[in-house]
Amino acid sequence: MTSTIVIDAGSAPAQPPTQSRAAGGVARRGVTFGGILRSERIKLTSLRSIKLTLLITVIVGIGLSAAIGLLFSNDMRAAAEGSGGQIFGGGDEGLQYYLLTVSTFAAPFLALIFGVLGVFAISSEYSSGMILSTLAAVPKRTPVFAGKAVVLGIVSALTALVLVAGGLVVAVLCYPESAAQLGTSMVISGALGTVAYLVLISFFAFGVSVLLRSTAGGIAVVAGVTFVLPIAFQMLSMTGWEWVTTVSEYLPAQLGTILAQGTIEVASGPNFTVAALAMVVWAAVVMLPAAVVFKRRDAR
Amino acid sequence: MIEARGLTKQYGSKTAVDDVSFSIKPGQVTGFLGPNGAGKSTSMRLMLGLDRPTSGTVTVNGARYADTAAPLGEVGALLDAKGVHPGRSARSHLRALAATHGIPDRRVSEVLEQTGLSAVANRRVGGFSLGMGQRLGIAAALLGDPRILILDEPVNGLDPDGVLWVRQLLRHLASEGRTVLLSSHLMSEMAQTADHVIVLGRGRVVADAPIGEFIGGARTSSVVVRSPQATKLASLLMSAERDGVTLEPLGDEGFTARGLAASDIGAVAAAYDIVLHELSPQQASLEDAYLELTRGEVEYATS
Repeated sequence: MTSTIVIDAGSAPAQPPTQSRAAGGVARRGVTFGGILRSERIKLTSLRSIKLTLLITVIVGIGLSAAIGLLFSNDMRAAAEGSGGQIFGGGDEGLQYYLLTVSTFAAPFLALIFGVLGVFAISSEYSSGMILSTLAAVPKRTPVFAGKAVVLGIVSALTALVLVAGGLVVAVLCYPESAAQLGTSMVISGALGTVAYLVLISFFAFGVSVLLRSTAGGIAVVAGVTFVLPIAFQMLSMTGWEWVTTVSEYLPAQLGTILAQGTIEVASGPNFTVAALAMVVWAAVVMLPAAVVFKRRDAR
Repeated sequence: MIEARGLTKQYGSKTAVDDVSFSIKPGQVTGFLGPNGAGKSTSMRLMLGLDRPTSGTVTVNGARYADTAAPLGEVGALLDAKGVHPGRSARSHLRALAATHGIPDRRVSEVLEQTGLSAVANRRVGGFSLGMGQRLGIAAALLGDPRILILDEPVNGLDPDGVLWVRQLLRHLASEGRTVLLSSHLMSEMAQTADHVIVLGRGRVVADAPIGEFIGGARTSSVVVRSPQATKLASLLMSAERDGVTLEPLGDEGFTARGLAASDIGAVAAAYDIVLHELSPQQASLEDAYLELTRGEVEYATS
């Protein structure tokens, strides 16, 4: 069965004169950047797969936080009663560690989903041919690239914020004594650091995907950089070469871990600020060439 | 008005469009004809700035398409590749395109109505038939009420009613003073819709003429011959030293002759006492003219 819908073709021929206003008129307003942003928002929110992915990400992320929160809050209570525990150490700092651990625990895994989101933001257009409609509507391409990046950044940031804030709420629910530490600079910087990490991972993935124009290729590179490289470097570290240790400290997964710890003193390796800058460099190194290529390349 | 000057596009070592120049005028329907690989779609992609020309220029209403302030108001396009994400509804697809230009949702509903898609507007495009996909493509092309329409194979996959509808729509749009360019491999369709044809072959312009002139200018017309002694007559016609004569069998007792006048065939038949049941000159069709022109220009000829 091809179609049960009668397209009413019989009466259609009588209709063309509907469009009898003089040539031109509807689109005289022209392209605006605000319009491009609205267009990209409609594109993202009108795909069920994207909405579903985001929903599952939030549910899984907060679910993991709840599991970890239940586990660690028992330890915190035991520590407070002086009967064992002591994963996080005592005092305010211990509570801050507890809050950050529970709320950002899932971030390293969720980084891959943010990467997939970044890949899909553009690869779905290439695989479906939608890119032709998009670029025919806005032939000056750089605003399209910028608009997509802005909308992706907003969607990633909102999702990450919901995740981390939800994780903090769960942590406090599991161990109410930690509530007093929510406003400390360490907790706030760790939470925002994680949001920044996830957003920058989605940008990195977006850039890779523009360069490769392939969903599978984009996801492979993102998974490789976030999951496989750290393992590869761990094995390489057995050689004892010093550069291996240095490089592995600047891999995205490691940077994400540093960013999730907030602004604490570090004995060695990059601190919070350096880690944040290094993540920005990771994203920029692919986004800038991607922007150039997107502008120049034939659309297909 | 679409103007190409010395337009050339190479993909690697392959030249898809080779130093092409033409003007496509407003107020009439212009047809792009040519075998596969002749450069029709590439020319259209170049007009829309989807591909960069290797050299030469193409302008729409006097400007490079990318330099226009309201691209959807200048050119509405239906491209061969559908250009729609299958997971999106028809309405969302059009709304996303409309949003770039601040075109209101009212206009989206209007073009859905006009293309007969209102009833399926909220369905995912992935489930659309080829004909419905074509209608959505036409809806997208009409969205900005453009002064130029570029349609690659618009009737492909449409039912006869849909074909009639597209023909009337295009004629109507041209009568409003718009520039309408369509490509089609259906030459009968082109003969009924286009005022002017540009024939491409191997990336070059082979012909660029009003449709009447184009058909009239075809050198060979054909003659249908039926006779109980068709085989004898055919061998007599072929044995005479004539250049450019081709015979094409037409069942058991007849053939179509090209390169011969009906009077010549009649004279040969009379000289050898061959009975003729039919001897009818055929008016050269667009198809004949086209085949004549593109002979040898076919990129992927069956050998």
